[in-house]
Amino acid sequence: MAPVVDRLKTEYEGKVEFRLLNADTDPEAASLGAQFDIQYVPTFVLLDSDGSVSEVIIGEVSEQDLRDALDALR
Amino acid sequence: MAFCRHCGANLNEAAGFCPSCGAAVAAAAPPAPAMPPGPVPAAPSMPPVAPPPPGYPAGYAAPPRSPKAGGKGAIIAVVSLLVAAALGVGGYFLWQSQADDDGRSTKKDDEKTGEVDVEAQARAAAEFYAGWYIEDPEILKGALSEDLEDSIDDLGLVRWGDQELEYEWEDDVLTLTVYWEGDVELVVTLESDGDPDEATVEMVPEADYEDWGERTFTLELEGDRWIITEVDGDPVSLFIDQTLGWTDEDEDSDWDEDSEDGLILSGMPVLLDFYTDW
Repeated sequence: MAPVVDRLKTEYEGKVEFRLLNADTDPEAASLGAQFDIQYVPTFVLLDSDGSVSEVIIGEVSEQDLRDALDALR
Repeated sequence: MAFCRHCGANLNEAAGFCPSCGAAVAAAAPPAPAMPPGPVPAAPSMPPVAPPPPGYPAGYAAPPRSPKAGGKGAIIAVVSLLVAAALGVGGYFLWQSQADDDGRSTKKDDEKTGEVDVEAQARAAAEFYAGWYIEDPEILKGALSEDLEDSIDDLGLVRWGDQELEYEWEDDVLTLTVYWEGDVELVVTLESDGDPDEATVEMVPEADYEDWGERTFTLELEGDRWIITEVDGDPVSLFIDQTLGWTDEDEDSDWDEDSEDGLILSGMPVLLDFYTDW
């Protein structure tokens, strides 16, 4: 998924903040993982600007589906 | 008085291991509560994170939701299994250390330790298959490639209410028989090599279910989590992480509401990508 995420991160720069959290090494992954009840990797959590959860995607996802989820963010 | 589930010997209730055969006592952890028959549940959805209360800064992060009651059984079962596995592995290394220190290791002792490892490995693998690690096939499906989704439907990973499991050992082979309403549904055989960190689960359905096909999972233990590395030889990128999930009670959560580790909003929509290099 990394190439897709990297590509979308560039495309959506200034519109959506991308937070990449390595579940193995990133301490923030543990705290945010607990906050959002993450138990499986990969998982994408998409949040609107007010912090409300717009969509949670568990597992592999196509670039188009991820793009659609990003476009739906407010 | 407790008895060893492996050899039947009397056990000191405080003992972590059977004094007769060396089996981990905690391996007899109670099973997870079975899911009732019915439609396959959908993957859990996340409730919205509450907007900041009046007076809180924009970076306020809402407190975590309470764990779902339906997930508690799976979590308890997984934690029980992990404790059992940890005791087994820890006991092995403790024994090995002592044996090395006093030089009294014997072939008989080696064989006994091997049996403990073999059983821990195979039991973990069998219980994984039986659905103790994955009670919601929708979640597993979501983490696999599309061409495997149909296969997952066929696997019957959910333990339904009338499903029972029976273990039988013969040398290094464990046979797990899955009964559905009293009839044999599946036979899973595990030939263990004694490696407690890796397991292969092969499923061979009975004749009435042969159209389900045979499936093979390859699992590896990394730290305190089992990783599914392959399904039918196809690599998958999925692990069942026991370190990020909720424990039984809110207060045991890794996340502290007052800590500064919560999500800080920047005013833009956010995509959180939880990934692993593995």
